[in-house]
Amino acid sequence: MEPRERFRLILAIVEKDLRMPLWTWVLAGSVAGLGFLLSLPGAAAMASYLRYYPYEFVWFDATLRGYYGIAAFLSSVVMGITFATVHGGEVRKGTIRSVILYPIDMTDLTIAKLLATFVIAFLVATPLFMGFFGAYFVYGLYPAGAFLAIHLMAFAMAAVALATGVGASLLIANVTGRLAPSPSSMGALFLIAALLLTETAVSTIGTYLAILMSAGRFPSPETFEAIEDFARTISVVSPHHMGARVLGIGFGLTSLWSDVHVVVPVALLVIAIAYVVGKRLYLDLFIK
Amino acid sequence: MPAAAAGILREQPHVGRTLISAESPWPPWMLVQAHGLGKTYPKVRALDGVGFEIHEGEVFGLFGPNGAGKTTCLRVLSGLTRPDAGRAEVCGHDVAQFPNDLRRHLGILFDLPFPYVDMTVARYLTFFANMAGVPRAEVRGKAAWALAQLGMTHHAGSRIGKLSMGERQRVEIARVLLSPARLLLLDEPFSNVDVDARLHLRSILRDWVSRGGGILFTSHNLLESEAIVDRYAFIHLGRIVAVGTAKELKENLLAPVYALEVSDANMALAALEPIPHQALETTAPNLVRLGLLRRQDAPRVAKALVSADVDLLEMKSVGTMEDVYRKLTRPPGPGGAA
Repeated sequence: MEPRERFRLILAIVEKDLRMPLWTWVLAGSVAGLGFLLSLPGAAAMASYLRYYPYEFVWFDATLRGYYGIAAFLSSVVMGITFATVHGGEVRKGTIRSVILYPIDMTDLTIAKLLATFVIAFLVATPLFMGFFGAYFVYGLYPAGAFLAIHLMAFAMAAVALATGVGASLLIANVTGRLAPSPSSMGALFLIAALLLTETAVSTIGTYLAILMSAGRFPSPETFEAIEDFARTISVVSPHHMGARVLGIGFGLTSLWSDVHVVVPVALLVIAIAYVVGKRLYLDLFIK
Repeated sequence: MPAAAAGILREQPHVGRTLISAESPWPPWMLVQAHGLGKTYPKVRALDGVGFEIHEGEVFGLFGPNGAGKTTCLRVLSGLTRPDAGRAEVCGHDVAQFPNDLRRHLGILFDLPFPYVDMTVARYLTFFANMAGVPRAEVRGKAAWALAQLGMTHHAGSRIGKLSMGERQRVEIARVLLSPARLLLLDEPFSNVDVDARLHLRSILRDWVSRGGGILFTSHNLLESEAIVDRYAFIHLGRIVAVGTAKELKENLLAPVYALEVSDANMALAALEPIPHQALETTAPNLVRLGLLRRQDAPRVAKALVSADVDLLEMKSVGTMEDVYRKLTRPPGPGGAA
């Protein structure tokens, strides 16, 4: 099929999916507004305090990890729920069976669903994240540009994780002949894995385990060192680790590029193979 | 089916014979050409060597019991399911090579539609008109036309979830009619639709084929199908067991039984007695039921009655497509003659 025709089909599906119920947008706007209002007294007090004790916002590794973690969590949750609605919801309700009666293949259908997810999730997650810190931006306490960069990077990495998970689902379907695990489940799994496999998350979880396994005694420094080493090694498979690392380089906190080259090439490879494989899949996978 | 194909050619003067050449692998009037299609699910052989042809300008009916393979056949022909064996071309596209592309030429309605119940009818049709490749500028007009065809214009702003099942079915048919398709695959298109709407739908579909389109039609209502179907294929246990027009199938498969309306039933009985028969009886004062042993004896009936000075007011073959269906799908055994 011609690229123009494929684009038309993708666009038709995206347009349809973007017509979310009004209450979705009202809810997202209300929560963002509430977050802004809740942060207002703290920001005002901080601004008042800083009038007497001037302070320049400086990025530290710990602050970047914290804010990036919030952004990554928010983007992942919103993206996972949105994809489960626009894709998984259609499969569950059966309406996807009407869509596949038209000249679309699995690849283009998946692209359309991912695009719709990205647009909706962006329109929901951005006001939420920026809204929670909005009062600090209004008073000039936090750098809004840097926070927006953090949000954009976290969102992009969540998108990479979701697309890779969905692609992996198509690869499995090509082998097993069944769409199980579903793209929504695999997407959610990869979104969660991307969060849990960051250096911060792995070392935190490892520390908890070490405390549990040491039967009340405090773990040895060697144990902590081993946990840190393991966390550093495993975190190279997390897109969020890479995203935070790139931001860290951008904010002048680190110059380590070594583990940036792992996850994106692997993700792109999975997505590229899924793209080709998806074109060969028969759409009765949605009916089985 | 050479005879049936020739019949189609006779009925369609717009299909020029010059277009059809022996060298051409794909005659332009051919919409479906299937050979030896097979499909096996884990526990069921759904299709077993299925083959038939569908031409432009004909309504081709595919009939069979539940689970016979009708829906699987439709899925294979629409490129949704991969056949295990055989080959099929639909509108010039090989279903194995271009499973998704070929749906550009199809309008598909399966027996169990899954509409977007939260959408309005107009929005629903607009979406699927976009999916079907209707040019943007024409989408609204086409949707309005399809709604008008189905008598649903007043429901344009209604949510589909609020419609009755019959109205939903009409919306689904409107969706199918929107497609710039050459072939419609319709699985039970008249289910849940009231009598008036059925009559109207039949005329819409006949109009569709008269403009050169084709229809592959499945239904369980064989009596109704006689008003719309040009050629029949009966599928049973995944195999095509018969293909032909209603006349051909009745002649070949049913015993030659006739209902005669005559001026004098007793005189008719006496006149017909010499003709070899299996049944000869009066069913009403002026009606005679005659079951011949050989179809070739049918012309002798009128001659015998005329010789005996009995007026023959009407002579019609008794036997419906339901009888053909029963004959073809009855399990062989002591009680079955199939």
